[in-house]
Amino acid sequence: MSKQHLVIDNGSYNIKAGFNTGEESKPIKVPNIISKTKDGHIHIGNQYEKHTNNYSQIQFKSPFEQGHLTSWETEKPIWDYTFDLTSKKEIDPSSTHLILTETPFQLPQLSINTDQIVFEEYGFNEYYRCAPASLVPFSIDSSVINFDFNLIIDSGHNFTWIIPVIYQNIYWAGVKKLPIGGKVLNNLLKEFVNFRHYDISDDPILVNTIKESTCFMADDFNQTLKKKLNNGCEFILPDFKITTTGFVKTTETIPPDAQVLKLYDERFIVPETFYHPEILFDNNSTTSSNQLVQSAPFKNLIDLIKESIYACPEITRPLLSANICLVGGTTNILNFQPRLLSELQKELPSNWKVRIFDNYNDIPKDEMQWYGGINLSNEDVLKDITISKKEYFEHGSNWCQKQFGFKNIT
Amino acid sequence: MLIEEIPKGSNVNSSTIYFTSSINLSARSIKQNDDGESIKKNRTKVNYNLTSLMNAQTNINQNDSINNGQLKSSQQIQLERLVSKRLSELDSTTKSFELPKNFQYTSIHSTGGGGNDKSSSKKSRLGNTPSTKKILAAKRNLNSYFEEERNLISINTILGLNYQFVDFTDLNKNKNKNKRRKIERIRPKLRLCCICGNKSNYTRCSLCGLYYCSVKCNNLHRESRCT
Repeated sequence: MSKQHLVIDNGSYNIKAGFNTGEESKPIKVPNIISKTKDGHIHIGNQYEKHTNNYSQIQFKSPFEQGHLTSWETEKPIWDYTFDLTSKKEIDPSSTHLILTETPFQLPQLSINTDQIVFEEYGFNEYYRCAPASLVPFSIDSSVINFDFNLIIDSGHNFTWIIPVIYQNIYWAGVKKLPIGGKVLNNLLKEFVNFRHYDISDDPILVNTIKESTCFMADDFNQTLKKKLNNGCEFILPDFKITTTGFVKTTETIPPDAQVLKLYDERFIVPETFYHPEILFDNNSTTSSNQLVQSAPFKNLIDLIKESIYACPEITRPLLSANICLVGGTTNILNFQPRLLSELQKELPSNWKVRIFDNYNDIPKDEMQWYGGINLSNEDVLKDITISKKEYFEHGSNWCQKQFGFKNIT
Repeated sequence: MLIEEIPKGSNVNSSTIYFTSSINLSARSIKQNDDGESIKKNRTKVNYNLTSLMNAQTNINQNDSINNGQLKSSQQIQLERLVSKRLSELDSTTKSFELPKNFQYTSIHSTGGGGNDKSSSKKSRLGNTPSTKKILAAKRNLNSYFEEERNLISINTILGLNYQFVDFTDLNKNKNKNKRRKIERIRPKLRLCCICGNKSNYTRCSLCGLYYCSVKCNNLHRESRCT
């Protein structure tokens, strides 16, 4: 059997997995969770969607904790399930090359666990592990974007990472992290809606739907706040007759007995946390009364991007600012790119060009890393960076971690 | 001195931070106490100066300002604790549940696929080798992994990333006056009314510290949110 390349982008929201099948390779996405519906059934990944359409009181168990992959007893069934979906036949790990991503700055012990599972449990023949951002340069259109110097802004489910990638290598000293991601926004929106409207804390999927369909990034926050009544929208809550997920009201035809959620400033205050992280700490009894939190200045996305660029060698800085790539699911918030562009142009030196890319020829932003992995698997350089099962059993897992792990910034 | 006892009541405004542990030792105070009142506690608290322990172990203590192995002030530690508490509050989803003991996923290929290989799917949770068996049965949380980690530099790097966005300015700073800090402007904070969400730059509840924008909102706030 010929060698196959399997790429897994093991995100904490979705697993993106699939084989390299040439031009038409496409990842399948599986939610990286095990869920328990109200009636007590346990489902892996997206199985719950087929089981029921009433998602209230659904419980989730995620293999991730703060972005770190801690619980392999949860992850293993999800992987098995995902492998079944990726191919018609049972996969044969002994003739498969695996490219796997993991969060930057993973705790070494957890990385070692991952390596052990990959080699000893599954028995993959060859293996390369890296941070997702380092795969992005392989999937961008090199006629438009320089692929030797990139600043990757990877805004995922847990965090937003700002990662300079120079010559396809992560420049670790410039890596910055903003602990705001899709999950934080969901929970913040939940707090707003719980206080102002209905208690929706039982239904995390509904919260996510509301966020994805209504939230947007304000062009000018102060102006938008003043005119917040013009920026309202009405969200029809699920009634299990017309809709099971809920949707934004578009026309006048409104079902007579539908429950409607009227959203105004929540729509743009919640994403505004990227630029004003102090929103996280307001409206909360412990942090809002604390003088220390109130007086401490917080850095927003722009400050961290600036810091990240200035941590890089001087000659690369304008190159980085001209090749900023947005990836990850949270960057799908409406108006994310224009807002970031206008804010960055104000802050960076005027003779630097600022270009921010968020449109990659129909590749969704959260799959960029996966396509990068596919393209990497076609490259020759892969031979030099992979570790084979034989080498692993010869040198052990600590050596493996030394090859792939991050180097401490010193 | 790496470990020393600190009287409980004294608020030491030093640049080092003492992590208390409630080990019930009959330790005596090494320093002479000025207040002389709080020694009489039965259970003494042994305090570990964690930062200097770390520095002693990793010997990166001097003139390396990039690293987080620097001494942190007590305010910074307190701030980080508050920030991380709030973040983990926002990070948690709804109630989680425990997987049942015999839970496993059976591959579709093992039942209906009709393939020749049917061996691997059976033992989906068991683990093939001792080390993977251990990993798959671990049920540990992130903190226990952090506690086990020997390399303190990497912990510092990983944990420090969480607070990169907190720009800590020392409240009684004077020493780094002529450094870059001065040039950095401080962005005005966004203050929003906790009731209606409008801007509220001046008024603040005297009891709980939440912001409000008008008398009407304040009354509503007193009735609902104020604790």
